[in-house]
Amino acid sequence: MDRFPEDEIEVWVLNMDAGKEWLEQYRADPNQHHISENLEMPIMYDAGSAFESHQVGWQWSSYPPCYLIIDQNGFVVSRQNYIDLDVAASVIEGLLSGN
Amino acid sequence: MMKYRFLLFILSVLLLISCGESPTDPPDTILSTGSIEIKGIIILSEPLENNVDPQAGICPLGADIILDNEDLGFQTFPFVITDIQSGSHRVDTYFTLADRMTYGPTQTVEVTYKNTTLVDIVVKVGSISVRNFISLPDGEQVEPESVGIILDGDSLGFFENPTTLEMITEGSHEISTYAIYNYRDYVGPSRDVSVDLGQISAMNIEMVAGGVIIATAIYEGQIVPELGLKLDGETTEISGSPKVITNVSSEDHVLVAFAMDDTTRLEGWDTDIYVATGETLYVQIELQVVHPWVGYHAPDIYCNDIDGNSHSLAENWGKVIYIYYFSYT
Repeated sequence: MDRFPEDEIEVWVLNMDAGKEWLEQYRADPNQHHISENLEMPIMYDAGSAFESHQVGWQWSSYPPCYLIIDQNGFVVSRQNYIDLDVAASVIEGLLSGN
Repeated sequence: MMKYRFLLFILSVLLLISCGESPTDPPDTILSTGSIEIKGIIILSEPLENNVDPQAGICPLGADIILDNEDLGFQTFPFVITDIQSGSHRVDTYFTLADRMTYGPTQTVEVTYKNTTLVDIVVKVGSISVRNFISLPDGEQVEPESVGIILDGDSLGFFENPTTLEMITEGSHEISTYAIYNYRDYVGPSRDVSVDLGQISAMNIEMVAGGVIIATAIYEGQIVPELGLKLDGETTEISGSPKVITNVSSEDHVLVAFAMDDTTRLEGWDTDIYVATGETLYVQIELQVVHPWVGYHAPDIYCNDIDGNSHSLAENWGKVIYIYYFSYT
């Protein structure tokens, strides 16, 4: 995700159940997770309460992790129950180029 | 017969000769002038019944006089202006009442030859009592010790609160106030007040620390009857439309409107909300169905990161947003 301009893309890492301390340790160890190479990205720790009313996040019946890509107009354009950074990057590249 | 013909000939010649003469010069112009006498009084109150003193409640007035846009300077009354050309003239006055510059009513006067036309400047005054208060979040009301007052666009400076403004001319006036309380700026929004002769018009002004947002929302072309708002993440529950938010600080805000269409949640975002202190901003937001599934508008998500920063999807509207979730396992 680092190759996209910061003023055109916002990347969030969300967690719904871990404590703040665990998340700080998680961020301190970039090898722990496969997308944590960018240690500057915001890591949300209260996403559970934020999502509760919307059922937006992955639901317990889904298999984590997953991701959402939202376009410049606020519409969900991609939602996957697996991480494939190449696929995500391709979708984002298309949105930034207007395709 | 010859005699008559000769006379006719002579008359014809004389007539022809007279046709070639230049006309006589017009008489010299006679200037037609008159005078204007201006009197002025301030009436402070209605005359009392059986009042033995006809001057009670009346003050003399002096004023700057402007005749046909020419400033004649400050004059005490009565003041007579002589050698005024006959015809219509305009008289304006301005004077000081309780240290405030005040304009008298414009008068049009008809001046006639050798006559003195009287102009009476009658200024009727009353008072305005101004009390300012602030409603604190816990419901308590406090009064700032002093407030600045703006009357008809003129800043009058700071006064004790409450205060009474004396010698205000009869009629409608616009008043607004400002103060600092607890290191925060407050304003009393501009409003009209009517002043009557000899009366005190009371104003109780609630001061606010910011602007006011009045929001409505539409869905499929119709105004929704009930909506909720989330201003910078602070939620007000769904209730009747329009929704009013007061004390909004003068900076950029993110406003999310939401409503329910049966069991479907609707949302609309506006990320460019700015309202100046003391002003009212009317906002109408278009709602859309929100859902975390492809093809739907994403709901706003507002949460904090582990560094203590708050984030909102709406704040990032206009960017591509990549949200990665994981579970603590």
